Amino acid sequence: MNDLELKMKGKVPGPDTGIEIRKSVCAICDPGTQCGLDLYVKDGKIVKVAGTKEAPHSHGTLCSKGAAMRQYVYSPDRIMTPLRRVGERGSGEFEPISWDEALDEIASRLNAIKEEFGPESVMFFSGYAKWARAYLMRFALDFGSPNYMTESSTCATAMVMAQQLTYGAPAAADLKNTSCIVYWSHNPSATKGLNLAGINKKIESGLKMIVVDPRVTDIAQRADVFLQIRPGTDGALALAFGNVIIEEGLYDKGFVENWSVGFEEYRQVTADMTPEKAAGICGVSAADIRAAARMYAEAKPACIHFSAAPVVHHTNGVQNYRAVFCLIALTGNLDIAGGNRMNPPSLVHMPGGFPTREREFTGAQRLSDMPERVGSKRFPVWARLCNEAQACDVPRQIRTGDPYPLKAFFALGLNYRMWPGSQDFIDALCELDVIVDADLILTDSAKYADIVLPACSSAERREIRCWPMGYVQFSQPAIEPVGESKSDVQILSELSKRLGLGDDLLEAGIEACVEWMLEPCGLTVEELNKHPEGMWVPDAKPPAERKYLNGGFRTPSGKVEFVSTLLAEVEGEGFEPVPSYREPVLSPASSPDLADEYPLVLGLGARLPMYQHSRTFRLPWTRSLSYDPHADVNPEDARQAGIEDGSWMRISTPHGEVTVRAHVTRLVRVGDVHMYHDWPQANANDLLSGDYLDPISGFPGYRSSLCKIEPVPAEGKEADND
Amino acid sequence: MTKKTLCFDAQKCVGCYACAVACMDQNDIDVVGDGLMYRHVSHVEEENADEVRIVHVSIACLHCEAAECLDACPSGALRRDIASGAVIVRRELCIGCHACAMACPFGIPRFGRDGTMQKCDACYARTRFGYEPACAEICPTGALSYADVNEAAGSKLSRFGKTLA
Amino acid sequence: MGDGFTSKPVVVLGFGAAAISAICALRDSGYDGPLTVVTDADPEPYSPVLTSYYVGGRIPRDQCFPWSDLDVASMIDDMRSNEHIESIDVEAHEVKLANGQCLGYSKLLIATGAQPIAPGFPASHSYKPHVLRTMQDAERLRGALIAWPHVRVLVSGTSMVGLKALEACLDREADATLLGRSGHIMRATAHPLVAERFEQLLVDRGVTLRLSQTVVDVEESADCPECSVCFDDGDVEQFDEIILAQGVKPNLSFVAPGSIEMHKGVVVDDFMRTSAPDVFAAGDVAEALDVSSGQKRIIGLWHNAVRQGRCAGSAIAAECAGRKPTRPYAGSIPSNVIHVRDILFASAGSLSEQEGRCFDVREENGMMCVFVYEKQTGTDQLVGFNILAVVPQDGKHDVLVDEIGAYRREIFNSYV
Repeated sequence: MNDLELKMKGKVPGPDTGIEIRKSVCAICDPGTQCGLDLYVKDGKIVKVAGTKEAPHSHGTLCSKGAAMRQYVYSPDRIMTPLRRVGERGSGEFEPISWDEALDEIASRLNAIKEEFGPESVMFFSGYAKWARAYLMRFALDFGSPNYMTESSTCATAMVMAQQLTYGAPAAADLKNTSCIVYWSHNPSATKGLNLAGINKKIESGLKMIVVDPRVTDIAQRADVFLQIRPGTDGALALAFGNVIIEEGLYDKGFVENWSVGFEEYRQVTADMTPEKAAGICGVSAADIRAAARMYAEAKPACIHFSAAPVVHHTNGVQNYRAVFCLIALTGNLDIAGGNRMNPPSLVHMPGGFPTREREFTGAQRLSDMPERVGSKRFPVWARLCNEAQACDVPRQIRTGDPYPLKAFFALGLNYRMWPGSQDFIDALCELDVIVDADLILTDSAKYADIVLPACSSAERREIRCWPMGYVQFSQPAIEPVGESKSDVQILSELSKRLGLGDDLLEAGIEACVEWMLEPCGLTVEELNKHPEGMWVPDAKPPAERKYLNGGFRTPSGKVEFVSTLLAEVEGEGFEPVPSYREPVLSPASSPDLADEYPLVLGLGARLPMYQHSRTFRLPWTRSLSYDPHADVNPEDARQAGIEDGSWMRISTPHGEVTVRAHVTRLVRVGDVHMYHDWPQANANDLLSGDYLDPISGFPGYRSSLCKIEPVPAEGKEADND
Repeated sequence: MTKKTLCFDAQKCVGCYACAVACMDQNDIDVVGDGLMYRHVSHVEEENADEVRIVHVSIACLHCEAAECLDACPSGALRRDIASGAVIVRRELCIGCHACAMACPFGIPRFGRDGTMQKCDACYARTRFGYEPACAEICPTGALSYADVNEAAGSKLSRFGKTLA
Repeated sequence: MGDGFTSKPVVVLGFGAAAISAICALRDSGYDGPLTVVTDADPEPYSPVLTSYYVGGRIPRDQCFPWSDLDVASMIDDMRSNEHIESIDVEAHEVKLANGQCLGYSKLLIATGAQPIAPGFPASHSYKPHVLRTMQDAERLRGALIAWPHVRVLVSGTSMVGLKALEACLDREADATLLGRSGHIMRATAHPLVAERFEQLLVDRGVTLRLSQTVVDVEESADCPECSVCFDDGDVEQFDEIILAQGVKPNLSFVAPGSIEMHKGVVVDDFMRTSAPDVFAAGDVAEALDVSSGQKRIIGLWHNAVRQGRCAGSAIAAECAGRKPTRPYAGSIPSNVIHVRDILFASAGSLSEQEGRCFDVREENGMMCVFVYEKQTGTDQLVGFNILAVVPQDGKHDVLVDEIGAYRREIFNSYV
């Protein structure tokens, strides 16, 4: 091979090879990472993907999902034109139509429904993608509907609520400056591998680490204390931490005295939860609980690195997390360097250290003049704390029309299999007059839409992102959109025009919107355009510590609320104002009769590093790494059931059954089954009913219910080639 | 000029598969068709006393200094790239005899639909021009790196290689 | 000629894998003195492993010369191709050629390889059966197989070369019959159960088997180019061609009995030195260390030839420079991997029934495997294996097949 041939083979950029590196951002997982992408482009096509070295967050690295970006962009399943349904809903029979036809039809049908049933009867939904949500919310409110809702009806919001109830706003772990980390149900090697290089360095220099997780994870085996608890018992463990910390006088008395309410009630609840009692509930040793509690309380500063969903994916989730978050206040680690910092978001949930008008842009303030949102009555605490509708209540309201009829669902991305009782969810949607979905590919959910709009990926659009260290990037499209696809914001902008919403700013497009949002920090689009790889925000500064010293906490009392003022106003089981431990609704302890037939605890939602929900399922590269649906089972349970590693087994619950391969592993506890989710041919979420929800947040109890397992003869199971 | 080589540190590996996918992207590996991946990530559960540990291993051709596959190949399909030290297969010369598979103690040679051998070439076409191998460039934890040969000699790679061999 | 003993050349007899590997090692190790090569073949070295692929039409003729991009010629000062060696005089350090010439040597490497033999196969008056070793052999066989469709071929011999010849016949859509003296094919390396399965796979692919049989007579018909072959069971069958692949013997006719210690081959030490001073041997002529038995024997594999050649080359270079050689030959174990169409058979170590051994026979995913373990305190030690697999259409065969080298190494390491 001559040099040029060799360079072509190596995909070496340069004028001779015609390969050019264009800067972009990966949005396959979202938010909080957003690694910088170097897209190697030749003749308008991406030929290779690498990380952006100058990206201060990702340093030129990517995960397996981002590495598969090329197949994500060029999936043969990409939707090339707008589509109009011609067959039954779900049949996947469509005819291609023009953008004009599609947008005109959507506009006329939505306006007709608005006319007849009121704007609130149209729901505006965002799937997993976070970047366009501010625009969608503004669009929904422009339309006059309060029913802006997202997949965050099952993700992150409940974690935020537990913090709002306790101390008013989220407080993220300050990993950089800490001397002790409690990873509370967080597995960074599957989701945030990028953080691990830094953590490894800190471990070498004496960082203390405690990990709470039902499964042995990578981070767990680096821990000083690892508490492998039974799923859904986090609250009992946290209260026992509180018991030890208070009993042994390790709490921050000054902070508790000056900045909290309800400490006495909290003390009483923890007094009842001795380490011995919690050990029995959680399945760990009392000695380990004591050791961990002391380690966390004595290290200064110490932080708790929690995660968006696992702890709140239980029917007792918000209370459990309330108990965890109380520990941050109890030890005085709230809003201090190396503790848990309360940093306000700048853009797309991320604190960039600079002010923006993103929240004002959404127009959230208009909600107060609108009808109540979906789920408001059923989940009053949600309604008080959150601006979105609770989508888990959508099927009920569609069917009952209470308090008003729902007629249309406009989605930027939808995966019906994410909802508990998934089939019931999509069946309910089918009762609507209109379903519109924008997506990259014709998913099984998109097949139910009347009109499907082709959306484009982050490589084909502009989007603005920021990172906590004060870095901001307004990405440029690296390639032309595939087919006739458009960015979600462009779709909203053009549709806004057709609907006659009169929103000049949204109609002006993304650059105008970004310019408007950035006005308070002085950044301009013109400046950002000069730095396609991103830039440091000139005046970004880390927020002050102990901001509560000026103006207190954003709770009703202005203090940390061991006893929640808001929960005290709500009647009913599960709303105890002091974080109290209750068993998950379905557990061997709370439903022993059912456990006779379904003896194993079923946890849904464990992750594999190459999958972000279903987002990289269809990509041959990532799929080749783990082809079949599977679940983790302990060898003892497998032996009792007569199941071998790698063989097929049936997981059944009173609500449904799926067939998956058994991954027999000692990394999970005896008595637990952990299933990886989102496989189309084995939908884990159909193992639950749609009303298996936490009463505070409306979040599904994905991570703990009951099941049984049985072997399935290999002859009976052909590998599904979906 | 110091010579560089691919190094692997199992202590840092979390089994995230980024290297495996980056390799597929760099080499346009058609896993649905006749392409086979060059880099494999596996997870080994170790149990001692009452503790279970998981160890992740990312392995592709080690480009051994005394490469047995090179000696075993009767068709001239395998050769050493002098500049990078990589052992390279020229599939157009491969007869699929599996002699290299019998020679390699690490299970590296794989054979596709056309029967010819496929394996990692240490991205010699990138390193020649100053770019890193795709797997090392992408690794989020630093477990895989493209480092100086002398450093590598003392690294965990060689220790790991010895245990495997 | 030169001006004294030290300027005599290193002489290499033969020009195959062992010889070329030795020549490269000599030069890589810094030997810059004169180098003479004597071979009875053409000056361009071919690979005997590749000839069956050429016969079968799997590769073009050019590809039979795997060293074509390696400039071996530049390493050689005196190339004597198409020359026959008459004898060597180890006392006088001389090689006598058939043309009467005499070559003095400082060091001599015998790497003359082997040639096919067919013990017990009856000679025919006029029909010369095929063998498969040299390019000439390959040309002649190729011509015969493509002469017309469905050439009827009798392949005598069921080890490696016989099966590769058989594959070439199948590739050329010949009607092939495989003849073996023993009850099973691959007698030396395959476990009887595996051999039986292998045989069935061959039958499934259209091969006729004649096992536990010998040929007692071959007669050429008067007016057509076919042979009548009489088997020992009384059968008589017509064949167009016969291929003899029953075995090989080392090319050592030029070594006078008693001048160098030899059995089947020339016995060598860890540096490929023979019993005669300054005479080395490598490849198919050398009885080198088989670590599994501790015995010296010929294990005629390309891989061993290359390693032995390199060992000899660097040892010769060291001795020429007045140093002791430092890189001994590590020995080998019997191992074998062979492809016949989509059938892959791999074996290594010992498969023989012995006291204290247990046999783990497995059949899974269309494969048949035998793993032989020797009972030891602690864990059982793997001492041999057979893996027989049919490679599926998608090429993605079972992981066990990918691990054959690891098993081989495990067995090898247990002896060293």
